[in-house]
Amino acid sequence: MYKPVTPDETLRFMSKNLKGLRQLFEAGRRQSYILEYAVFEKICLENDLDLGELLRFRFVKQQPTQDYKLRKQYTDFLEFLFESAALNLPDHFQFHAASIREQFNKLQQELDTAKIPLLVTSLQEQLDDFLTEIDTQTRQLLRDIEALKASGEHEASLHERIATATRWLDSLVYPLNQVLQASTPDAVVAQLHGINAYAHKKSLFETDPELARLFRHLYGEALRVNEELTRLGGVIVRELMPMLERIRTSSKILAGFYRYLESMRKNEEPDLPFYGLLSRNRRYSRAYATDWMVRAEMLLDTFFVEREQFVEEEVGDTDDWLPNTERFKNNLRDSLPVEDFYRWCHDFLKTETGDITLRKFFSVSKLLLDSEFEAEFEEDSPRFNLELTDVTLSLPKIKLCANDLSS
Amino acid sequence: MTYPPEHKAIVNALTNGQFILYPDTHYMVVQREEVFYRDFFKATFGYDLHVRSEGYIFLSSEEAVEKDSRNFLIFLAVFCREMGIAGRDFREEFGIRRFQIEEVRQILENSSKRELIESILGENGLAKLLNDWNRRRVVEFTNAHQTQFKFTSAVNLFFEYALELADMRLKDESEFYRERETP
Repeated sequence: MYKPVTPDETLRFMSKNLKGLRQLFEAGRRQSYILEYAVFEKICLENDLDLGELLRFRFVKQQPTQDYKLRKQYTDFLEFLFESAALNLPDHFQFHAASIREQFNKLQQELDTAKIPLLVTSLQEQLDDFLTEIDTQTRQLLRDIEALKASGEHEASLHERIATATRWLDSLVYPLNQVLQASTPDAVVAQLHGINAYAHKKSLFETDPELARLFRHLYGEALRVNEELTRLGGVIVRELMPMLERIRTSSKILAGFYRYLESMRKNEEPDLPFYGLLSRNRRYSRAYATDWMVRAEMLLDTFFVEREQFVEEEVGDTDDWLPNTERFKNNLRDSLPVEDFYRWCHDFLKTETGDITLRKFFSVSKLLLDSEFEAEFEEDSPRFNLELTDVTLSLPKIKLCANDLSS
Repeated sequence: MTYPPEHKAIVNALTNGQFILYPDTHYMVVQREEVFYRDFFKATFGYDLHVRSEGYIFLSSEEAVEKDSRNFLIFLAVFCREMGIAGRDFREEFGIRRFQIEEVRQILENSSKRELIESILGENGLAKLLNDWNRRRVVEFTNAHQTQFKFTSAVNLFFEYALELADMRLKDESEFYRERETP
């Protein structure tokens, strides 16, 4: 027996099974709320959802393909509840904009005043639907972008992020913006202005008070929709686009860096060489500065000032006296043979001067090499010390005879 | 012709591998006389002048061989990677934040690419690396002890390069798939 469902029963059913219904809703969100039989069964089983109940409350209906489709009335409500919507393609908005235009044209051309209230209400609904959809879409995009932004940028997810950001920008955001910003007479904004002006004029000049009231409502609605759309257009241009562009660019930069690190790891040259930046002092490196002399002089002048020093020259007596070699030689010749030549030299000098220096000693002892004399030297004879004024000499004993061959 | 009074300083800075940044007077001069300076550097040294609208100017040479850029790119790549993994917006932070060297050092030490970083930095290398790039004006120390720094607009050059690398890869991949799809 058919048992009608009351509104509070419906709400109780939803409240009791909200978790399961949400899962069905989320599973179908990205695919027009059509769930494959297997997926549907699984979620129902996991959440103790009764198929009979679901059908009785008209939450789902079975497709000829055996798949299940969630009813739009419910999904709209759940979208509102969960603030989660399926993203619509821009064609959808364009289609919507076209139907607003069509409805408005119909209203302007309608001569039968009895039909006007219906047309006005219908146009008002169209406007409200359009605004709601744009609003839902924008909010959903903002939420999705935030989620995309917050997800960590691992290498594996980078390309997916780039692809997602690109897809959303190219197929959702830019076209959505185009629908809102278009300045052609057919564009929504122009239509809204038209509706606005038309409704305003009608509300002032319509003689039927009921119709005047309806037009006043339409005027208010068009004004509100216009304002809201302008605001949403701003959100899209100022927030959505830069955020997505930013995510896309950042992800691309990271992907590029990954690629660079990868080539470094493999010890390969990157596919694209970096700019050949100049090194420091590449061209102007010099061993010294051009003004080194001036600087050096300044340095010396400033820091190396020495105190003036006066050095008094010592004026002492210099002993220039040298023995008379000729006289010495004559004496020597007379004394030949001399047993100990060096000591003889010393004794001779002693008779001449008290100060026997090395210089004086050598000036006479060098006669040893004179060809007139012949020196004899015993290898094993002991050396003796001879003390002069400035040095002590260790000398061997040398015998000096006349050289017979020289004469 | 008459040279601008800043001419010598500009040529010195740029040929020493420094970046000239907006809003320095030198930036304005080069930007105003861009055509002259482009010709001047090309004709005199064979260098290419780059004036970027993001607010930085630099010279490049096809013959230049230096390892500094490679090391800085590795450092930057690993640092950005770690920030990305942590869910941080590195571009936003680079624009507004000052980083403590110690904080950066720790991030790099905890990275799985630590070995790569260590191979290019070595002992006390991070401070030296930052010091070198501070001289080039890609980073700027923000305190007297040089324990804190920020990135200047010149860091965008490295991002630009990474973007080009990524675009090349995306292009390669799409070509690969296209070839696979066409029998």
